[in-house]
Amino acid sequence: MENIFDEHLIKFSFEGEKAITWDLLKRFGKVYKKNQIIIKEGDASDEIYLLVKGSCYVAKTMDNAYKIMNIIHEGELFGEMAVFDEKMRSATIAAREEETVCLKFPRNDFIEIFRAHPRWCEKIIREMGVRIVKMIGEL
Amino acid sequence: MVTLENIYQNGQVKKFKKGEKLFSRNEMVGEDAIFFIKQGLVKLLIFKKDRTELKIYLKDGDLAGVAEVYADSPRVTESICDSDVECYIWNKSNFILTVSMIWELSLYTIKSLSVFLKIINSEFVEKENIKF
Repeated sequence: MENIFDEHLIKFSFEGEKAITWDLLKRFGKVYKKNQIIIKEGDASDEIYLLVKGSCYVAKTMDNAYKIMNIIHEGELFGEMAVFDEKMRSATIAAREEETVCLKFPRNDFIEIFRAHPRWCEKIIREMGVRIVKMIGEL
Repeated sequence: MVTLENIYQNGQVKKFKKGEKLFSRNEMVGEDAIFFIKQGLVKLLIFKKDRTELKIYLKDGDLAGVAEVYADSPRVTESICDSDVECYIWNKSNFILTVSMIWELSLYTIKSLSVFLKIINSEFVEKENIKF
């Protein structure tokens, strides 16, 4: 069965980033080369990614070229709109550094993580809130 | 069935007229901490260092005021009703407690912050072309 909520996920859902061990990386980790496409605009897929190392471009196709719209940094989630049944990818995501590492979760596993441990969600929310306040201060 | 609407209904309903503020920049987060917009349009104004303004519009179903609550920060935006607005308002501790217990609400909050973060992130990026 594909979406087994296994021991690595249970540990991750309780400990968050502290539980990003070799076992978890082996099961969900993906390493991308610089400029390698991770998500392609227009594709239908529902995986959610947590960027563990490196950074990523967010790009949109305009006039047959990719235009950079944004940068994703370590610790940020992307593709998370798939949780809300938006399966058509709205932008292309590509690795910005030579060894960019993501945890790639199938949608159901990701939802199980949230169900199992909302405290981890709270930590993500807090980090996002702090980042938003800090970035607005820098604008 | 538990829906987000059901959850939000535990907040206090409050109506605002067009032009009224939900909160002002630099004010401390008070008892009215989190605003779930039931109906209407809210304009968030961010004042940039170059003296221009970034406007972000929130509509029915959106959340306002979450970032400052979790960052323990004064308000960083000016929040003005762009139409008559009806909100469910939550105090800080109730919201944090409910998020920690109801995964649907925490996911929705993450979605809301994620959209906001993407808008802010994009302000820092040179919109140049690239080849993959």
